Formats: sequence, structure tokens, C-alpha cells
Amino acid sequence: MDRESELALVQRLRGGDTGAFDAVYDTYRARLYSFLVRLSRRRDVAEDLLEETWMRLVANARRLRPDTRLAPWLFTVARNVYWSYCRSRLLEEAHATDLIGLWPVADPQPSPLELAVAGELEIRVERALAALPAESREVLLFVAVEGLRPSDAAIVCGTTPEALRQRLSRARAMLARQLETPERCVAPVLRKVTT
Amino acid sequence: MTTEDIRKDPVMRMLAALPAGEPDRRRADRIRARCHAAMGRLGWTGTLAGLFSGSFCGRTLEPALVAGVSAVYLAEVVRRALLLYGF
Repeated sequence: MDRESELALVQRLRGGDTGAFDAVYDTYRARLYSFLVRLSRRRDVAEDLLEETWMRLVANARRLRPDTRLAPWLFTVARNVYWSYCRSRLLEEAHATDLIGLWPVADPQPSPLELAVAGELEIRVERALAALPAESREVLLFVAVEGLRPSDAAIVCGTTPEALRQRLSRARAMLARQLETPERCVAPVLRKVTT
Repeated sequence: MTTEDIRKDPVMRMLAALPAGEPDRRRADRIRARCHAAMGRLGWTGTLAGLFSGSFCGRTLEPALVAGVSAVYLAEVVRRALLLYGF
């Protein structure tokens, strides 16, 4: 989406245009959902957080600044919604690893056939990513997966560009280590299927 | 890491190649419908809010109305107080 179209959409959103909402929803729905699934590692939670993110856009549509950039705005809200969820539910990282599902199959427990069909490398990357702490995961998701510029990702994460670059380097190093030792990040579900 | 490093880095490129997923179709449709309904409601309340925050209503009529009601209330309080003390 070019900047001109984006500004026009923001203008229409501010006016309460449901057609503009649909255009934004169709553009960002999959990206936001993917981000939230990978961050929360649960599809049901991700769907709830996705809904909350869109409801916040609607609630704040009239107060959007005319020069709002939608991707950073939406990802900031999605990120805040996720961290609010973690605080309210006291989600523990240690327990959450038991809930990892293969991405992007619909069934949280992939069948051996799905495992065979899905790319081995893709599975390894998803597993390694899921094994990282959420703070590292989110920065990799913003910059590498969603393609936000580091300066935008810094704004979304509420930090400075320099601090974000350092976080990114650390997260990248952690991911590389995970990829070198894939057995460490394989969830119990996968082990059960493969043994 | 600079933007150029990110673009060239093999680990980052693996991440960039990960596919995006879609939420459940029915859920996605339900979210859309709920947002449309909320936009409709906000449109109505927004129109009302706009009416009352307009230049005439917001800056002239509303303070005058509040001042008038307050003056009537105050006059009634004073009248009852005087009656109570036998004036």
C-alpha cells in the first residue's frame, strides 16, 4: 500500500467509512494474526487478541492523526494487547511451551502427514522462534517477518532505535543457536509423533 | 544490525520466508461484522457529540444553559433559607 492510499484510507477511517475499514482489515488481518499467533503461540488466544486489536482501531478511528501510518499503529496496539493479556492472565513462558502448535496448519497437533508435507526448514524455524523469550521473539517478528524498519519497530516497542538494534542482534544470535540445536526446541508433541 | 545486514542475513531471510496465516474464516467474518456494528454506533454517537461540540452549541448555548439552571437552583436555595428563618 503506497503512502498516498494509506493517507486516504486514514482520512476515510476518521470519517467512519466501513469501506475503508474493510480495506485496512483485508490488508492487515493475516499479518496481525500471524504476528499474534507467533507471539502468543496459541491460535485461540491470537484470535481473541486480533479481535481486540480491530475493536481498538474502530474505537479510536475518529481520533487517528491524519498522518497516521497504519502498520506501526496496528502492530503497536496488537503488541500492547498481547502484553496486557500476559499481565492479566499471568501467562508463564515455561508452561506455554507445551502449547506450541505447528504453523500454519489448522490443527494444533499436526498429523504425521502434515509434518511430512510442511517444509522441514520452516518447521525448524517456527520451533526455534517459538522457543525464544517473547521479548526476543517480538523484535524478530517486527523486523524480519513483518518487514518493519528498525526505527518503526523501536517506536512500536517503545524503545530507542539503538536499543532495538541491540535487542535484534541478541535475538538473532539466540535464534541461530536454537537452529543449530533443533532438538532443544522440539515440543513434546513433535517428539511423540516422530518417535 | 543495519537494514542492509537484515536484508542479507540468512537467518533473517529464513524468518522473512515464513508464511502468513489466516484466522478461522467464521471468526474473521464475525470480527468484521462486529467492527462494522461498532462503527455504526460510534457514527451515531459521534454525530451527537459533534452537534453538541459545535461552535454555537458548545461555546454559547451549553454554558448559558448551565448558568441559567444554576441561577434558578441558587435562587430557590436562598428563598427556602429565608423562609426557614421567618423572613
